Amino acid sequence: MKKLLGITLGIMTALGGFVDLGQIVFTTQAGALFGYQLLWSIVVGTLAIIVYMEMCGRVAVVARKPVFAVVRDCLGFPLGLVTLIASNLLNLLTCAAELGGLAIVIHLLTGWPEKLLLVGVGIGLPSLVYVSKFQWIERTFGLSGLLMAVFAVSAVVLHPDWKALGAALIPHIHSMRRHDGLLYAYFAIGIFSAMLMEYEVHFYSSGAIEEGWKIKDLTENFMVASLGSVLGSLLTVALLILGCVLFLPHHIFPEQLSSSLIAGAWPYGQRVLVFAALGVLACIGGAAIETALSGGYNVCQFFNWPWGKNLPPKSAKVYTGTWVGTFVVALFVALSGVRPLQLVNFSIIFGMAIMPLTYYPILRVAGDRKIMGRYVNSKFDTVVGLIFFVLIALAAVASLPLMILTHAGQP
Amino acid sequence: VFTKTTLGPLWIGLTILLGSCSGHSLTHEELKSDYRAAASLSAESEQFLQHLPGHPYNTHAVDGHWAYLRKQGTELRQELEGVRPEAADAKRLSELRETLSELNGLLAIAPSSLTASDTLESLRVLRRRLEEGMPQ
Repeated sequence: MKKLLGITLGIMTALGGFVDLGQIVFTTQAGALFGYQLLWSIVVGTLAIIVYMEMCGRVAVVARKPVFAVVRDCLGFPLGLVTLIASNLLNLLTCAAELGGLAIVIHLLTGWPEKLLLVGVGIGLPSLVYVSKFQWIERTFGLSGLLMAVFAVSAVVLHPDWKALGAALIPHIHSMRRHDGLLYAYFAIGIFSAMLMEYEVHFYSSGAIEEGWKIKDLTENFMVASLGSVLGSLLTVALLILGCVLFLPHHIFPEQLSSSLIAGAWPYGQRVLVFAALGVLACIGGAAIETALSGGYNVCQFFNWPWGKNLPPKSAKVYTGTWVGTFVVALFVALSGVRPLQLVNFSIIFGMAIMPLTYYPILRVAGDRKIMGRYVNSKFDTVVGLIFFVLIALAAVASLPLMILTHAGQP
Repeated sequence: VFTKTTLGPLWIGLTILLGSCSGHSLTHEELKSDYRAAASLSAESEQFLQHLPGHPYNTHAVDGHWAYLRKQGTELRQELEGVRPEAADAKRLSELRETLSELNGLLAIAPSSLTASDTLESLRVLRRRLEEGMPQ
């Protein structure tokens, strides 16, 4: 049973990482614009995150080094510090967007004023995290996120074209107008980026240490990383299908979280909408928690200060202060009136641009025999890791120009 | 000259700089994009109203979603205020503003107060007008 519950770390990490506010709307929009054509980017993103999640879990267990200790050791203090600042800024923006998303979903369920809900969420969520042990946070949000399965059910019930879906596993180059071609690239990179957001590996590797994983747990590491990621991936595919089936035929480009949420309950109505909303709340809430806690993990791991959700707050003052501070500042950012989707759009692309600075150190340390001993990357791991790293680097270079050229993905 | 300690900050600085760049004079392509956005909003409102009779949702969900669509329409209309189009696009921009104002007028009414058939017909007319007026 303990082992089964251990999987919830992978589920929460992947659902909070994959199926957060940005991915929910972004993937629905990708389906609405390009049908199933971008399925391959979901598959590539899933494989990449499985490879790197497993790698950082292994490094955390064998070297007892979480991601940001690896970043500092590998990149050196100055560049490591720059990466730390950029990553925590990204966490802050994403956390603000997720808080805004939570308020929107609760507003749709209750009709209560959105600003009031935002304040309630901004106070309630950190309070819940403060009083809960790490394991209970991951179990609660990981398992509740499974309610998102109603999106998959709705997608299947709406009779997608399975043949076309299968064909989209391989990227096809169609002749497109220049702007459509740029949009296609923008959405492919955006989906890929949203699946590999840095806070996922920060949270996962820290979680492995929080849970006290030992060498004997390494066999489960791959299973935990894979199962969570595949689940998140299937839900992402469901969102793509919903966008394709419901919106593409009518030339609708959905720009609201409420559009994606209602799409998840489309064949059924209110009863299923409640489950869809609860699933979305768990995923978005999980993402908000992941980003805030990652803020604390990153700072303390970088400066080698005490950290851990299971430590008494007095023993890990900087850690507790940083994640609470992340929530507080994120709440003020969200209250400033910036649209959550604008924030998350920026964070996905900005996250892609700085992604190599997180993934390169992981690849390097996991392949270092002096550190990893007999648990060093196999040749296969190294080759696959390198291929994905090259893709990450290419996407990082292309992300900002594409954001500018497409006006952040406007058709 | 460029070591890893200088390249990192340089790259992130460039990232922030490029990310914050967003020019704002209405090009032909941007006008087309705004037409598409308006047509999409009209089509989504139409689709939602058509969907409601067979699929009951509670008032909060219906009014909430409708309010988000209304906000989207209002923001789109506001973005078109004070922009300078290319000379050949001036008439189309004016038509887009007018059509969006009509659309926002419909979205300003709560769905429960709308007469479904009349509203659907009005939305259809607006959407067609937007699709036909869309610049090439």
